[in-house]
Amino acid sequence: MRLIPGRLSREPDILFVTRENRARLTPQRLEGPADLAVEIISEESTTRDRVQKFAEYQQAGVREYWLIDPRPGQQQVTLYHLTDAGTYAAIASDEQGRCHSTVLPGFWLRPAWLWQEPLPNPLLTLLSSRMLPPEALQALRDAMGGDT
Amino acid sequence: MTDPTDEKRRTQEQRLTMSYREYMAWSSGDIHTEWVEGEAIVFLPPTTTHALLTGFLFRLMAPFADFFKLGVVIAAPFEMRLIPGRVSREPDLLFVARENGDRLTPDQLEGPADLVVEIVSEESGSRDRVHKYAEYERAGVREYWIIDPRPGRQETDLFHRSSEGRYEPIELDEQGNFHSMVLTGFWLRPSWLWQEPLPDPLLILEQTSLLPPQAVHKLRQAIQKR
Repeated sequence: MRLIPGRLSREPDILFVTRENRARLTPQRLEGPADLAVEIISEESTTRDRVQKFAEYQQAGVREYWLIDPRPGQQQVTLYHLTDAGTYAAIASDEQGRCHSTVLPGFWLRPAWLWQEPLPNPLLTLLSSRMLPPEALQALRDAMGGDT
Repeated sequence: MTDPTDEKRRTQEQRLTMSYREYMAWSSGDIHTEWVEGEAIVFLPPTTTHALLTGFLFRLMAPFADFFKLGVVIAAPFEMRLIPGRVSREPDLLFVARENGDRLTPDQLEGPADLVVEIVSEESGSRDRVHKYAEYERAGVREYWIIDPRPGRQETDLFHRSSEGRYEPIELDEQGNFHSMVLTGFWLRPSWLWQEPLPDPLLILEQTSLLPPQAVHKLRQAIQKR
């Protein structure tokens, strides 16, 4: 992810590029900011993720930044959304303890999923949380020959 | 889509001499590095094709391994300490069978994966087909998939380690599919890999009946609730 050509390239653990910004994906790399970046903190990356990348992503216009700290005794998830003022504001979880993304519309994350051992099955999680959007369900229905 | 203003791009990996202990202190979880015989290798960032293809295969293989409780699939960068003290690699994808789950320590994989997938890139040259092939064969990686998505190539080669410890190619069946012998029940149709855009992994799992009946049943239930 080439945030500032000639000056700054990062490789987030996970990134999401919306369909509208798909042109930023050249054959070689992502030119410009992702819409959403996820960093999983490790012992050696704490400052880089919490301070340096936080400032870089904010300045370069990564619209949402998820910081996940799975270290024992920490186990924190914070989703930051870029405000109109161009600064990151933490997204508060709802009453059910779900963190709603503003960039990946309809997607939400329950932090408790992330600390389970073993981790839950992602596909079953998508289904049981009813997060799969109607289009995806329709596509699945078509794929099954409409015999449901 | 070449960018004329592109500054000089590194076209080769970099090699730095250091001990394994130094490598551990120096390497970060951020970039793809390997350590072989006293040299750290810093890889070029993957291209878009490479990254999308890795993601596609991961999303195809991981749910399959999950549902059948066969083991875990992990994507790079993740250290596979193939020969402790001599060779550490970070394959694009690796699969560790449940029975070898104790090779997964909190920090890395100690010893060989059961299955490794490497996606060939422009600069990797002979690394995947010669060096890693020999290493993986010797160290006991039971299955090795080499996928070359470069235009004009588009080759998929699967190798299975025989009881004599030699890699033997897995042949396509009459339908044009490769059947894994390690990720039991999983098969791969090479033509999936060259589609643009890549197909939806979830639809493939559904259409090909790769997913077990109880999973399909759950999908159907979820659809009917809508």
